[in-house]
Amino acid sequence: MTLVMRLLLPCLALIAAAHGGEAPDYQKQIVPLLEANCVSCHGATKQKGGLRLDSRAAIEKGGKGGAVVIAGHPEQSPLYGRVVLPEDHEDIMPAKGDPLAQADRELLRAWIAGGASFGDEAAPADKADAATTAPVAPESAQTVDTDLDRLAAALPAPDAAAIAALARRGARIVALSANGALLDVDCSHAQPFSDADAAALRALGAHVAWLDLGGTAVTSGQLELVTALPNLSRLHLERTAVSDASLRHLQQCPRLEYLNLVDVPVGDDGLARLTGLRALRTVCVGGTMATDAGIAALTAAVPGVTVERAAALAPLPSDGEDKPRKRKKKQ
Amino acid sequence: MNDLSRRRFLNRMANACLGVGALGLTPSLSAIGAEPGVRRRPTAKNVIMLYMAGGMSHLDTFDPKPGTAEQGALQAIPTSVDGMSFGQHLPLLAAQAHRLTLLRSMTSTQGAHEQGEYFMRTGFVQRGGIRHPSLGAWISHSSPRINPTLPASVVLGGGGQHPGAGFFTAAHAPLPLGDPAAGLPAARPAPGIDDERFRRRLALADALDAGYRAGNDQPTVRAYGDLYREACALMDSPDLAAFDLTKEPEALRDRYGEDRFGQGCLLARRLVENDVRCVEVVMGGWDTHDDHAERIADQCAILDQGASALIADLAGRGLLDETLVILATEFGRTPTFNERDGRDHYPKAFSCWLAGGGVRGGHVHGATDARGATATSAPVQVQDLHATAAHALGLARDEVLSPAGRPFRMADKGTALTSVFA
Repeated sequence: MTLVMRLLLPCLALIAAAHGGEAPDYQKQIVPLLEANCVSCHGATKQKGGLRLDSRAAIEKGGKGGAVVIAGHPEQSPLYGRVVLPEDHEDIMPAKGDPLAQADRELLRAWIAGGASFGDEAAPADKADAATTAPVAPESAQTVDTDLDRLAAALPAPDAAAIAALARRGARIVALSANGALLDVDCSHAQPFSDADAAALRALGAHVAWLDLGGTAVTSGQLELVTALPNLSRLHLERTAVSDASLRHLQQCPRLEYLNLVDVPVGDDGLARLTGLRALRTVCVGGTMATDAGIAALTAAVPGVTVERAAALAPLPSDGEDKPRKRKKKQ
Repeated sequence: MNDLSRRRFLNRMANACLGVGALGLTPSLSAIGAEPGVRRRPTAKNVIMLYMAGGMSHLDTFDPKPGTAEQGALQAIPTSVDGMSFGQHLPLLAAQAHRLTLLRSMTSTQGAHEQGEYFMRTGFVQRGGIRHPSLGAWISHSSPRINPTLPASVVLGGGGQHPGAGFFTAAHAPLPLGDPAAGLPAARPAPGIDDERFRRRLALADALDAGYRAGNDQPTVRAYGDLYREACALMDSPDLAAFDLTKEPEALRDRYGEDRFGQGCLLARRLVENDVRCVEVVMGGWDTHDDHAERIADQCAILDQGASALIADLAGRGLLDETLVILATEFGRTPTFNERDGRDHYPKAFSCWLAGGGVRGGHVHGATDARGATATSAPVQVQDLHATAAHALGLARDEVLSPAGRPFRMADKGTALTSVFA
């Protein structure tokens, strides 16, 4: 082991301790990491070194060189050892592209050190069933009622003038509850976004459950409007130019479950402002500056959140006999 | 036609084209406040149905039985979900298995193609004297149109047998498109027909129709007028670009696959992005009565590439969360092989899957026995699949009367599979 490694590893262990000390979750943390960095060469399409990293069985089987994971011993496990080699070492993984981010290396190390558990041994169906019968209580002391349907029943009818004003500006408004109290407001076709639009949305306040501002000219300043939307559960901000700092306004939306930030110029700093949103289930960060570390921090802070990265839609390999890519049009 | 009426007609056309006419962008509170179609908060806004026409073999795709005589030459591969395996020719979908809910206990009563397809597309068993609406028509009828210029539903690559609007008016008929890569045919006036001349022609058609319309003021007659208006609105709309696959990067088009199914999947993504509520993408060729292993390999390559690209692309854009993707087929195929190394029709047990739209990932609903011959747990009827789509979209399934006065409801007597939702 190099001197650098000797010095580095205890530090990494400390970082792990700071993250709560618990071994990373295979399904939630390790699978996305492997998918993002390894599976393009060690997966269904290519099996470099006879190795696949896209299922439990394959990881346990290892590659031509034998086992890749030795539970409890990250330094002896090629899955970890190969990713922490010096950048110019001929054996470093990934073989192409940048070395793994520090946070990802640490995740791998902590997972193997913690016994390389693949999680619950039960069949997937059983696992999922268990999840629904015993819902995980939010860890936060102030639990937020996210049952929008019950909230809707208690809401009065929305202000007709505010709906009409937004509709005149080109917004598409659809009721989400039988009494019409919860609304899906789509402003994505009503560009440009003006202060008048923001004011009209504020006027609808608690009635706005879904909001689509995707592709609009909404500014970071105007985004403050969400502080007037306590029942907001889905928000589309994709292809807008809102800033990291403006995402702090979302802290006033405790019921937010879905946030689309695709192609928005935000990064880890913005994600860090979402960590208090316990209801979050899906955050889409494709085309942002979010790093693996920022994403890991968010998933660690908000149990149950899935962070969707940009789709890994690289062209299929064009070498080899069995290539589905080039095919004549079916008649 | 005199000048005044033509001007009035042009005015009306302009209204329709600008979307400020009858479709109405100023809904009253009553229209918003008492939405009859909404029963519960939806988990999905759109549905994409990938229809595997011909009867997809469940044993060779999503319900393999490795190590049995029934499995034949094609083997199983592991997926991204522990304990879940797929047929060997679906490696790309296997990598997406954590986003799917497999329905391995589908069962149907219809063992012939026409009746089976009809059942799967409408949720009703085919009967003489009535044509039931397809899934897209039910969705169009039960929910508000979100994008006023684009059709509420589209069928890509389907044949002529599609039940379409069924007994609903033509306004609810899915728009059929043969070749997704060709864009929307006839969306521009013919060469040499300028705008003015096109309007004149429309005015003439309108004048010719006026007498008949006045004497036959019925919903079905009015619906044809609406259809013309909507078509014209679409011709002038920027939404037309939704149909143009050349706006996508070449590499992405390649990743979806150059065949019609792959390009149809890509077009389906563009259409749901533009608020088309329901898109059916049809892939034929699953009627593998002979040369099973070879034909399954070819079929799976197309399905695997197109469907895996669609799911990954939808997920990366944040669209999968609100789009329910359904892989459907009319029936499965026999566990045993016939004398031509093929498998025959088998409605008793087969597989479909769901993805996105609030549905769990990496989940298996139901199972077949060791031979793939019988649904041994949690059998799913075709109607249940339709009821599940209605549940995801939050539709009420209120009773509607056919023109003959018979009551029907979406998904008939089906029960939504609420346990598959996250």
